[in-house]
Amino acid sequence: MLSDVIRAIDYSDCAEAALILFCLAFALMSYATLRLTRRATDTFASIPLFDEVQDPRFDTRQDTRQDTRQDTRYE
Amino acid sequence: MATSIVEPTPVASTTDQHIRDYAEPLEKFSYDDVIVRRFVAATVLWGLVATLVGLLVAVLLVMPKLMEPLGWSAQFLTFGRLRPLHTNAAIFAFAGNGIFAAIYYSTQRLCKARMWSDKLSQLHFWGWQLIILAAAVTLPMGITQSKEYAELEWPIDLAIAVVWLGFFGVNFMMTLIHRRERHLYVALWFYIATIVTVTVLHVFNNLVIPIGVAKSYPIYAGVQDAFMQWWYGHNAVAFFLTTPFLGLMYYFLPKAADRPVFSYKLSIIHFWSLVFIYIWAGPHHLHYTALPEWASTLGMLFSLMLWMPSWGGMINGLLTLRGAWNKVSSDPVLKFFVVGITFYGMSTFEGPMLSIKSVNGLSHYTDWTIAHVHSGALGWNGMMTFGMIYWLLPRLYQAPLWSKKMAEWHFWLGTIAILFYIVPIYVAGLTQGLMWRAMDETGRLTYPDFVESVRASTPLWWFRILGGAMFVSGIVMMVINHVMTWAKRPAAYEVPVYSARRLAPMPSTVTAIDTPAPISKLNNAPVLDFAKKIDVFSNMSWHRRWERLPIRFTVFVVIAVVVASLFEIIPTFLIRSNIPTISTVTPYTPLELAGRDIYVSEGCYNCHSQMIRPIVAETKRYGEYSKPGEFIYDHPFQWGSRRIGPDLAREGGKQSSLWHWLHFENPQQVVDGSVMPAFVHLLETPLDFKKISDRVWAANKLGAPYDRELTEAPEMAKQQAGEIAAQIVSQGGSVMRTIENNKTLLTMDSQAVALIAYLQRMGIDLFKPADMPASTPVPDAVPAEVPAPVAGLEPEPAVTNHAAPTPGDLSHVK
Repeated sequence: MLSDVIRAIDYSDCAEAALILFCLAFALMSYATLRLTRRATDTFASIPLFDEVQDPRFDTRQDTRQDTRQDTRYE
Repeated sequence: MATSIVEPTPVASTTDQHIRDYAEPLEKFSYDDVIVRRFVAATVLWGLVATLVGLLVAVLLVMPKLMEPLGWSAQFLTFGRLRPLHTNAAIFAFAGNGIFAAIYYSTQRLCKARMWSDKLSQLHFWGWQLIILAAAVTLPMGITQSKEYAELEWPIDLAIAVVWLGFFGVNFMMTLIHRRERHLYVALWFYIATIVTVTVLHVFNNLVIPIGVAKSYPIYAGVQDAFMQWWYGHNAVAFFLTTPFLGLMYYFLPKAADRPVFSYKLSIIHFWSLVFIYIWAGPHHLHYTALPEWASTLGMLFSLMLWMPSWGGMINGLLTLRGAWNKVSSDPVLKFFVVGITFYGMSTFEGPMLSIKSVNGLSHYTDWTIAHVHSGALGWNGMMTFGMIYWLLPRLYQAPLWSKKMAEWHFWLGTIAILFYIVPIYVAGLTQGLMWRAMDETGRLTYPDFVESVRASTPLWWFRILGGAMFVSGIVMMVINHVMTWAKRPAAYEVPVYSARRLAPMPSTVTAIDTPAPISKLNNAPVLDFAKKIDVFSNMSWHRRWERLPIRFTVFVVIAVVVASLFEIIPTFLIRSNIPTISTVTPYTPLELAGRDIYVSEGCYNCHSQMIRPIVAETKRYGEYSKPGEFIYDHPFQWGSRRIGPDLAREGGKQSSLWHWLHFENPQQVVDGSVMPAFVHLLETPLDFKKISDRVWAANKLGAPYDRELTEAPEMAKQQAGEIAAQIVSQGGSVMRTIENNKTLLTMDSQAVALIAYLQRMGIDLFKPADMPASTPVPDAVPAEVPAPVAGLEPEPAVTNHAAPTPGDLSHVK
């Protein structure tokens, strides 16, 4: 019975509905990204540069991070 | 093993969250680099193997008789069997181990945590290597599902699912959960997308009914199987060869350049755009085929949309080097990365271009696709992996790179090699596409003989070998550099031990560093509460929170992928009009089923398509274009993606059975200039008639309406084999053949007869009247413009249990 119901549904507008869904999701995601502050993105972007935990972890207002970016002993 | 302690920097905290963090216990941890070293070594080893096998198959194309001196063993080393070994080795062995090395190294450092379980890491490593070995053994043996990049049979598929999700996925997710860095860096997002999407793709594309340890049939048939396969195939490229490498890029490029990524915002947009768009694009692999038009168009549109985020990512990568270009001139690692990212841009421009239907009409089935794939695989995946390995080697082995100069040589040799490889293949692709469609002023094909395009391509294939050999030479240099650097390692590796506090649970009111609390600016304004709620919502702080909740984040990625997939899959499977019923299309006979399995096992789909597109030049060359309803009993579909030989969709009745027999024995004796290898073993290996019952059972389970076949399959197969053998003998062939140890094998008992039965059946059902009695001779219904047959080998009516077609009458197609 369930398969009869599913087969009876008209899927002809699927492509258009998909496009609208995509546009909505894309717009929301872009908006969320653009709301990020510069301070936040700078902090996030610097994560790979440090191998050890940076304390304090969430406060970028204080410039307390040591510059221990990478080990160059073997280069 | 020596250890060094790295203590955290104590800093006065100012916020509630910091106070909570400092209440957490101090923990000591170190990174597991043993697993990274293993994956790097495996990457180097399999990189060499994959490219060597690639070089071998390239040589086999121009020297098809190369393996003949090996005699019986030659059957394991044909192009059709080795080509899947090359692609699987390149994708899953070389690139796979490469991304695992990248993920294990970067995830630990981005999470500031050791991998959750060392045991799972080791199980992952050894499990994956066993899977690769299983592939290396089974594919040359002809044990294959014949779906491109998903050839491995079901026991290996099960192992892949366990190792990928059970060992790797669980270990990765648990590491994220136990991390010490609050924010999930964007590289980790790409890894999450890789793990969940590959799992979904792998499971749904490999749903099969097994009839033994080494043989199974997909539950999908024809059009639906093709759709599922290219939904998988395209997204295997997207989520195995693109997203993890982008994660690699976003971690290792900033590391190597010692500066953060150019735009973190752009990297977020890059990620979500790819996840949203990529999954839709698969149908562009099936333009002008029997796939419904709407699905094909949707695939094209989303492929074109992919161009924007892909180039956004490329620009983000290249601009990360702003102010550091002086380093590029002296650092081979950055050189590899720059060329790799540039090839990413090239490939992601070319991919959408090839998805445009009119372009695809020219490029599909030609070497153009091969050139495109190799510009991506060698240029993007290869160069990024090499760059990462050269960056990692001194750090993993704690010794300077043995020869920086050799790394530079590898870079230049590899870069030039790619150009030597792809340029002639682009030319070959264009040549083939243009020759196949060329028509003179009278409307006749200019090159009616397919082999003319093969002859024109052969010199260009030789150039390809030169490029391939150069690329392999570069990898040999990397192997030497790797071994020599390893040899200079210290007696005991130094393992830094870090000391840090666990992450305190985050209260729901604290959401992000940039938005400490979701308080509306309108709190004191005379507006409705609803407006304040909208204001809080638009702060998007909820999104920041999601970004640091790995499980929820993963669920959202799954939703994005699954929803997009279902929008294409549900209509493809459920709209009845997508696959019009053709009343004359009937199931394969037992012998034809056995022949079809041989076709699959030999990898014939690697060189021959079974899909005539509705393009004038194709219908003139091959006959009536293919209809969706013709493939309803095809498990798996055999449409192929490349034409090194001609399309076989309407092969039935085109050549005599003796012609096929002689063609298997020595292709060049009937087609001068053919690059097909001999398949003598098919003439000399007996067919196991007893096993045909299992095949019939499986086909019946999958929907083929069999009756007498269910109980009398071997007898029916023997009868049809006898009729075809009689035809071969009447045309001048021999009754029996002397095989090893002076034994003889009757023609009717050979595997070749089963394959001939299948070939003679291809594409004839469409034209036969529904009420025509069985075993009626089948003439060629819609004649194609083909060259005259070889003298003495004119086609004769094929022996089938099916009826004859009436030219032009397609009224039974509903």
